[in-house]
Amino acid sequence: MASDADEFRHESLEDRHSIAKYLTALAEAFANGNLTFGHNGQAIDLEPRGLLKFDVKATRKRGAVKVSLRLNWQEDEEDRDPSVGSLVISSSGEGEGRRR
Amino acid sequence: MEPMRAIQENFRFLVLEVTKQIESTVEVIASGATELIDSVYLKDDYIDNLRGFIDSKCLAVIQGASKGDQRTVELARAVDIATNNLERIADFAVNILRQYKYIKDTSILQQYEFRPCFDEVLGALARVPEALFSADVAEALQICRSEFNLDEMYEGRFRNVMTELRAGGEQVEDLVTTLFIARYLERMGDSLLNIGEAILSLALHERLKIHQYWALEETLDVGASEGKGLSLESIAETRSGCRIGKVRDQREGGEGNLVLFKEGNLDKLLEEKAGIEFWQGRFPDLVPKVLGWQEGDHHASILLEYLRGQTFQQILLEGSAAELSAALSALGATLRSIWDATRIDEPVQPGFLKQIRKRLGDVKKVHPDFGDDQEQIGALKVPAFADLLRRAEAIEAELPAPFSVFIHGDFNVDNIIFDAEAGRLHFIDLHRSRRFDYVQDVSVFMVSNFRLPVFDAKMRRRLHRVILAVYRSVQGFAREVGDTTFEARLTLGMVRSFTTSTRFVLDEEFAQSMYLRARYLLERLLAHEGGEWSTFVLPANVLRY
Repeated sequence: MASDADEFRHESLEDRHSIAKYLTALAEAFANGNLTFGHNGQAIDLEPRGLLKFDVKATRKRGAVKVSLRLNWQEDEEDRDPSVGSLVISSSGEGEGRRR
Repeated sequence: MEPMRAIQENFRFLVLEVTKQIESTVEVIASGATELIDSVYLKDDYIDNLRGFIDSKCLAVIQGASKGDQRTVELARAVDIATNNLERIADFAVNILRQYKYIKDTSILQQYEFRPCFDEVLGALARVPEALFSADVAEALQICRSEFNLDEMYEGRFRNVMTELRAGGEQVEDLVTTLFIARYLERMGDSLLNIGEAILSLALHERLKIHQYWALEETLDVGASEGKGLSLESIAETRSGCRIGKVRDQREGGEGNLVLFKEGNLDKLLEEKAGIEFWQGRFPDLVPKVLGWQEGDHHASILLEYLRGQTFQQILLEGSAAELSAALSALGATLRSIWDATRIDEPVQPGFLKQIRKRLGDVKKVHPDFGDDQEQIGALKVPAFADLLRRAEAIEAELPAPFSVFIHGDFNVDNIIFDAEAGRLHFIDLHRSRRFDYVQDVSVFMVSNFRLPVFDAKMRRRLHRVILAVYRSVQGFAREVGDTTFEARLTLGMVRSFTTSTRFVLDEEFAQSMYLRARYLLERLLAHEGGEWSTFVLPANVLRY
């Protein structure tokens, strides 16, 4: 994505049957590796790759229940900044190190 | 009068007065000149005042000195320590006379021959002013030695008193009093040692204890009189409890070169020495030379060639891109030449999981939650890390390394030194060097980059690129030599290093990120179980933080 600050937010009221649709949609999107969040014709397209940090939290306090799922990941730096080069160790073995 | 001169003058007075107190005490004991006792008591107040005066002057010098006047401050400090210990010696003389009054039959004192003890104290006292004001190492050592002589004299007398006490008899009270007197003389020795050490510290610009100095001296094989030829440049404590110092070697043939002096636990240093010898035969330039070795019952000291250059860690964190690139090339070439030259095609079992088990207790001391983390989410059971480790044992058994090579054994970024000028790479801290699976060194090295607690995005990218470069390079080597289980073993090695490294990482979030990587890798390995290990690939995304 071009901008550093893409943002999407959804809020709704659901019941335990209707929520399953959302969770299934998310599960399928992760399994496919393609996650799109759209709003008024604008979309954030995410391609989760690499390590995903997954954080599940459930609390119950005097009848108030909260279950939160959080997923974090980093997009490959090459995707964001292709100018970053990589380091290579010459495989010829002809470096500057000591030889027998 | 210049403050330091006033201090010197009064200090010399103090030494004279303390000496006189000891001489009077000797006289009382030797010839029963009890009329001297009161004058000794009176003199004690005067000595106290003298001490107070010198004390405050020294303090004024220490507090008032300008930055450049470090030498004066050091001298004032040493004088202050010596002053307080001299006053203590005078107090002990008074205490001896107080005890003397209780002795019923003073002939017991002749029998126990205290004269040599007093002579030892007097001899040392006479050396103090010159030793101090000319910061003379040899004289300071003589002062220190009197403590050891006094200790010996005390022990002899102590044993005799005990023998007589056990034998019974009527002299019990006098014997006990005699022991008290001997004890005060022994404590004079302690004070003399403090004075000697203060002078040594002054002379060597370092806080130094006498046994360290002797270890150094014996290792360098120089006599006390040549002590001036040494200069300690710095001293530090290592994680394993060894003391390490940089010393300039000014012995004949030493050419003023820097050498490294390590002092500490005998077993630790024996391992270190064995590690150096392990490499010495085939790669003499790779490791430091042993220039001296000295061992006692539990302590040892070793003198090592000081290797020029920077540690790989320094280059990582502070070096230019070109320096890092040169160090990496040297690393690649050095490892390759070691592996080619020492390879023996005989399977070896690295036992990474066993290495984790051995250290898991230490990990849990720092991170109590790691290990027993069985969880359930809906129908999904999330096994505890400890269970994953157990299940992986069967996998590890299938994965011996096809060959062994010489390995460093503790291949951290700060145990590699790169001399950019000479283009040479050196290994240090070789106590775990042996013939083993090369993957051990590779995984330790990769994680030792990862675990550096720097969080600046640019620096993290740099670390990531180094880790990747090493991984790719060794991967190439493994393919070349047909090591088909390299990736799976490397994964086990990374599990090991990620897990055990957390015991050095107090930043909870950072430690957690390593622990979760170890878990993730274990789960990937277990998911592959039953498949062909040659097709397994390390999930390289764990290499980036």
